[in-house]
Amino acid sequence: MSSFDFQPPQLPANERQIRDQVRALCKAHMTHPDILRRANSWAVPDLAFSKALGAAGLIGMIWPQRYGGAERTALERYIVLEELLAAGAPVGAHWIADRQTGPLILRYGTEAQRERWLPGIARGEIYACIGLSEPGAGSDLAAVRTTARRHGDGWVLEGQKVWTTNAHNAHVMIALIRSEEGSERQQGLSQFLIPMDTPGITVRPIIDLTGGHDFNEVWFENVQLPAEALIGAEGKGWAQATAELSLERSGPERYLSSHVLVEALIDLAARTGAENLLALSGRLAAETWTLRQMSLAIAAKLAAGQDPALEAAIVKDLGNSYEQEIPKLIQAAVDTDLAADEPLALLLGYLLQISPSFSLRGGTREILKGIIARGMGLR
Amino acid sequence: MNLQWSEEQQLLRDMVRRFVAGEYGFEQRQKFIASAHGFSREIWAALAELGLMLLSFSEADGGMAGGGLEASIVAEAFGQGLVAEPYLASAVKASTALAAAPAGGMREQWIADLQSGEKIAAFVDAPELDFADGLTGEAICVAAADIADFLIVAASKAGAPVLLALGAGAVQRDGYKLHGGGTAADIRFEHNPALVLAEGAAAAEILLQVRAAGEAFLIAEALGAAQAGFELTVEYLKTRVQFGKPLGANQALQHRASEMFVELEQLRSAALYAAVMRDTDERELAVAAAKYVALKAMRFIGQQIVQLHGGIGVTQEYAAGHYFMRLTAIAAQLGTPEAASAAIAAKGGFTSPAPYWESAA
Repeated sequence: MSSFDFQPPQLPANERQIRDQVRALCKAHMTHPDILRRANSWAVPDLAFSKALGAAGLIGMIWPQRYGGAERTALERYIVLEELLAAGAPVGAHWIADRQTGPLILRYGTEAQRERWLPGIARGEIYACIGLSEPGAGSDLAAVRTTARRHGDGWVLEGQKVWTTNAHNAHVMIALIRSEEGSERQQGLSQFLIPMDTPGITVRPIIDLTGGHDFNEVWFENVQLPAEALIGAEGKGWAQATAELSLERSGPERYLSSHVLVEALIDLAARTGAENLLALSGRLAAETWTLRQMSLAIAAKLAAGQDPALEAAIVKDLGNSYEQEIPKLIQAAVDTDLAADEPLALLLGYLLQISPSFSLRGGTREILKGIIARGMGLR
Repeated sequence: MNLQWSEEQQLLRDMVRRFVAGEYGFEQRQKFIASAHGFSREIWAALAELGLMLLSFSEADGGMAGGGLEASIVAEAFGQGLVAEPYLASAVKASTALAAAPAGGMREQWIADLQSGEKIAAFVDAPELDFADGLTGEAICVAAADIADFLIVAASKAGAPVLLALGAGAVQRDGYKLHGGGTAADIRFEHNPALVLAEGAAAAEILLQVRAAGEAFLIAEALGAAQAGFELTVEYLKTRVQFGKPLGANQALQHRASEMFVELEQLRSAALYAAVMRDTDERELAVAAAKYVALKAMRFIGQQIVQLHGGIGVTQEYAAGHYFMRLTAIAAQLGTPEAASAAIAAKGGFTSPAPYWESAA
């Protein structure tokens, strides 16, 4: 077993400047009166805000300039993400494209694919979704059955994806699809870049328990794609898709989903000076700080070209447990009426309902623990 | 404690369960809560027909003299079916208050209207409201107040408890639907005239009875929802195949299901304890203790229903998530385990609130 190697990096000298820049942007754009938009904010789309971030060079910021990027460092990007999440900024529209789709296209895409998609993503105008889960393939992703069959020069897709976050806003999907007839499990899978306006694609919303629309079902019926829709190597889809998961699992969004609630607590602690609230604020600050160090260490490894899949699983599992615990701890410490029309009560009520899904999205807690156990040589 | 249901209780149990299973399937329920008033008048009339509006009233008042156990039998069945009708507000809380109030005035007419199911009442627990020149002040999130015909209000008069009743029509109400089913309203009283049902110590005692009855009902309702959600989850573990085998073949998930079952059994004991003790003088301490155990259990079970179902557990269209929602909503009404624990301490429960050398003095 390789032990978890923590080398939290030194943050760049322009840290302060970056934080000020993002804070000013948030302040100028976050005028929506609904405070619940600030909780779980990376699920909240706001096209105008995404475009403003794109114009400020804060999407795709580590990509080469020739694809619309800003050639900044991974740690500079990390600071931007932290600020956006801490503010509860509505980053849902472009979040997946910036985090996963863009990097994947950059890594495996052809020159033509990069030129077609990356500049629009970096401008905050092109949004993406990821087609992984299917009705029979949830935690067991290798059970994917959506098929791509060769047809002339191109491909024809048939099948269904489910739990596809952001499909209703997305211009493009990167999907994991069975491209070799009769293949089994991890073999014979490929990734495809699918423009969402291709005929034969149907997107149906799945409404969650809070009434929110985040997930979708996506059907492919006789969807005809050109040869260049394939991204990366044919038959290597499994390796490509799972490499992407480290990007999905280790970022600051895995421990900052409930952060606006922590800020509301700190405000209240400062206002009242109540000892138990001060103590709880201290505890949450300590846990946030630890998670941040771990998450930063992974960001540095990713930037150095390593694939810290095990570490990413640990951070996601810890981070999800932490962010699920926050509403409970605050509810226990603060004498608040959940029915009251004030920020802390509204945020608390919302997060008590939505937080159980934090340990499902991006890989369930049980799957992550299995990955950690494998890292320990137990399976 | 005799843990056998009496024959009458067994009959009640069978009857309510049969009714809920037959008339209140998940699909119908979703239609009821989506309708304009968030519940079904037909179901309400049918519940009255079954005699369920009589349980809180003595035989002298034309009722069936049900106690905590009868109420918990109904509550558990309603929890299993996620019943959203305003039974707790009207047939338990408002009815318990009216039943305990001294005879006279409009009381008998109101009781008759509630027993027939023709009218619905809401209970406003707001001792901070002042009854001087009429009733004045605000109360937020009062269950069923939007659909109620009249309101029973626990308020204060010159600093002493008072129990009032008034028609709801003249009161300013801002109604809405609640997450997890049911409705409520924010109420604004402005010098509204009201009839006094009880005053002073009598009113204070009635309020304690109503609170205990309400909380015992919620705990039993949570038991029903947790039981149904647990059964659905175990079924899912047996039938959902991933990695070529049912989810339940994984030992880690077997252990989780076992933990849910252990919590469920604790919740069952807590519900029974609250149901029995709500009608005694020890109600405050006992119901707080039941709440402490129940809150921890319902939180764990609710979240595991979601976790073990995965994505399907957080959608509107499948029942599992609705059990989680109902458990979360009930927990929000009951408060936190920490608050229940503080209440136990304040009542001199298992530890003295003050150090022994002070309490001895």
